[in-house]
Amino acid sequence: MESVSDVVVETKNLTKTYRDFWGRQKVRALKALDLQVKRGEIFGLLGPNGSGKTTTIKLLLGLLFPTSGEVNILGRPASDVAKNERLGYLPEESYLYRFLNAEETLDFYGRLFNIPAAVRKQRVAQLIQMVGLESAKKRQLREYSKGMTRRIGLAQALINDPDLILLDEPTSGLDPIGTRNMKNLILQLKEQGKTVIMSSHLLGDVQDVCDRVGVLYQGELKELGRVEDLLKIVEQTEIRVDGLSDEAKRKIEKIVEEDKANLIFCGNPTTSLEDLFHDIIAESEAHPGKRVRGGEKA
Amino acid sequence: MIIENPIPPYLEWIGMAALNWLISVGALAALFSLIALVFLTIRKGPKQAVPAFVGGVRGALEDLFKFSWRRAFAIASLAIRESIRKKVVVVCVVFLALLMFAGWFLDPSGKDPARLCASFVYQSTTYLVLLLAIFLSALSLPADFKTKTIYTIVTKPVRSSEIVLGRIIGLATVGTAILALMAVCSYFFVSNTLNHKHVLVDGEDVKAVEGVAEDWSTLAPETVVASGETRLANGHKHKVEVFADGTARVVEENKHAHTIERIVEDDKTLYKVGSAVGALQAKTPVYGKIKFRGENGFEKERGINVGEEWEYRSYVAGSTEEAVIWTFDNITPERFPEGLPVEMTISAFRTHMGNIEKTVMGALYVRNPKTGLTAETNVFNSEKYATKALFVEREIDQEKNKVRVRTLKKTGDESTFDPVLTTADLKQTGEKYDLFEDFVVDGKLEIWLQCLDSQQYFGAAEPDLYLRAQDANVFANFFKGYLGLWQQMVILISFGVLFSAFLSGPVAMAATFGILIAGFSKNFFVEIARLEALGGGPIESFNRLVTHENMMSDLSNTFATQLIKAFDAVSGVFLSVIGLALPSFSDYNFYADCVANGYDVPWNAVAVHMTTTASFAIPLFVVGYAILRNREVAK
Repeated sequence: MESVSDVVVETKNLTKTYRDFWGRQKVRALKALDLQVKRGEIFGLLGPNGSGKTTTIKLLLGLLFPTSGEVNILGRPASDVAKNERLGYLPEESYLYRFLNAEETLDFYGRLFNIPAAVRKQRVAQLIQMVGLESAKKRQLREYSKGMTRRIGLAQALINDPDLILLDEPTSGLDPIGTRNMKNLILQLKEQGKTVIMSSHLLGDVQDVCDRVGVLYQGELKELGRVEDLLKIVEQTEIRVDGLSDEAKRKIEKIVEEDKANLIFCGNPTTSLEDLFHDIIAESEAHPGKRVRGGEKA
Repeated sequence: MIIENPIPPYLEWIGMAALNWLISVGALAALFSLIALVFLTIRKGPKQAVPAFVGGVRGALEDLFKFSWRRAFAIASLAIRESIRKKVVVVCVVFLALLMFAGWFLDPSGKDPARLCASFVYQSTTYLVLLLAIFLSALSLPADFKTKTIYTIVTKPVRSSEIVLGRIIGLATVGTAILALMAVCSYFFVSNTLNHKHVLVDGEDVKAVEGVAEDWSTLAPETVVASGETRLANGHKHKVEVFADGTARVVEENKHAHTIERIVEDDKTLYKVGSAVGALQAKTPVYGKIKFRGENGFEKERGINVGEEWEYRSYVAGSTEEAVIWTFDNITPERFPEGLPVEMTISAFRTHMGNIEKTVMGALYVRNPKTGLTAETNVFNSEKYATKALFVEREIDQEKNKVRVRTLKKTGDESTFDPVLTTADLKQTGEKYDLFEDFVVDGKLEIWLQCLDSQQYFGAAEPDLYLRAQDANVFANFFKGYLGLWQQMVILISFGVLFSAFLSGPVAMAATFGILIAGFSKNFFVEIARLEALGGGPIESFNRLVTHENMMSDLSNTFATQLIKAFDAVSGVFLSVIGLALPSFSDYNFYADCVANGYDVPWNAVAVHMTTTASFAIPLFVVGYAILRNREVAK
């Protein structure tokens, strides 16, 4: 059983309803979300546009106030500014000051963490090298390409060496090499014991890096579990055999045993995350309401 | 200089002002709390409203204690960098262009060119700097919301208080730098416009005074031996006087004089007129407390009203016992070693023209407030509204100065002047009196002003007569004049940042602009709200406007007019509260007026106004911070 301190993010019955100026309900963006993210894992939030992914991240960050329910992040409520000390956030698009250059940007965000000047200087240089922007560090961000902006955005999210990193669409706008680097970096962060929560439309990326995923649709959590568990097709068995004779095919198990063949794999076949995702969405549309999850309970 | 609302001494003012401030802030806090509670009750239900409110207040207080100046300065430096990169300095270029055009149109040949130039530069900087303050402050935070850069700020350990104060400090720093730059340009513009030289051709312009002995060495050094006029420059000429000791002086004209240089070449003495001096001044007036002496010798607060609508000045009748009395404190020989330089600007009211060529005569007296010893020190011809400089000599002669005693008579608790004169304590004939030893008691001295001509009147207000202490530094005073504008700018930036914490850019800008307009006409605003203005309250005035009704006549007593009046009365209460909470921007014109009129800006006024500015900026910061803290940053 995990100790309470292993839970980095916890939401209980988290609900967000958007209202208009007169307080009339416009849309229920998130319905009673119960979620736990544990220390050291990479958690992926999936869902089509308008499913509540970004709303969830904004609620976790305290950018939005919940209509009801609770958010605990790093042991503090989302409204507590002190939680930000150990948190890094890369927004969907890098919302940075375009009149600053890369060095000034990182220095400014470093100052917001009260990092001493000497440490800040060292950290800025290190991060700029890490995201590969040394040659452009003196250029104003207005001159940056989208990929470069993403990279400086990531660097600012890591300026405080955070324990928890929230990445909103981290690979959007990156070329294949940039995407590969970003995924490697996320895995490196995991190796360093950091917790990462990411949302992405690029399901392949999520499949590559995430330990667990949650699928949101119309504000409801439709699926939640470990990636390998979710992708397993439980009712099927797949046997992959090398050099098996035709006779043996008829009585596979017996022959495998008797023929002393080399059994390579025997287990459930897996689907792709993309197929799973489309299945969940199709099923949710056919049967609105709470879905019986195949993965785990929150 | 006309000062209708004199600024009280800081220590006298601060107690009552602080109390009023606390009451107003407390009332506003209570009002905001009530609104917040109602809002929370609607949103969260009555059970959760109170805990949510208490939690909010506690969180806000915690935030204040955990405030980090380093983070606030980081935000401030960002605001500064943003302004620089967005080329705010362009405003200075506009200002320079304005000064270049002004150089063509401002006429320095008028009677008071210093006033004209100073007023121009102060007004133009006021418009530019205040507009800039509105733009910068109202647009900066909304721009962060629009571009969502605020997301990356508030997800750092930055408190709303640091964001709001950081913005205010950063923008105020940008404004201050631009103001300083404009002030330096203005100073050079004014001194350059005022400076001019006059030509003095030797042997033509200055001629020997007739009847003066040729050997000047036998004459008293101050004897004028030659005189003449300079050539025309800037629309005026100066009289030049040469004295027996060879020195010369240029007589003041258009409120300035010139240096004059004596050059001796081959037994020939030439005089060369140099640059203008005294065009800009920083006189340091020492004001006294005014009271009036009535016809029967009794003291009273005000004199006669001669029928002027503007009741600023009060009058005393000529050739009677009536007098205007100023009581001065802290009069010491150390401050005024030679005697008392008195300057006054009084009004003369004639009931008959008499000799039109002859001005109304008046006299100044000094009086010991304890013993009643009084001496007539100066007899003068009044010039209406012209500042007259007189000098009260330290040595006072019994005969020449008609020294006499005017004693106080006690009647019960009231002390009144006794019009009967006694000479009991006078010195022996021929003995001299000393101003400080015989007339000043515990640093106190009375100066009396009387009109000598029968059926003519002198009118004065408290600031109309003052002692002129050592002048202050003109250069420093010119910059001190910008302190008023600086304070207006800080208040406006605080309002702008407050509005931008919850309104979109254009709306915040309009709201801040509204504050500027309402602040400049605060008194009128309050008059309308209190239904004291001609034409009634806002709706009634509007009704008069559209129905072409004049402001004076009563409206017909119909149901509609009753309704209008009732609405005005109710809305007036709310408007009065808003009006009283507005900053009075016109009060800050005092600084520019001081410099333009050649007076030193008193530090007492600076202290009072700075405190007032802080009393606005602090609550505005707190409200802005409370709003930002409790609003959702994302949408």
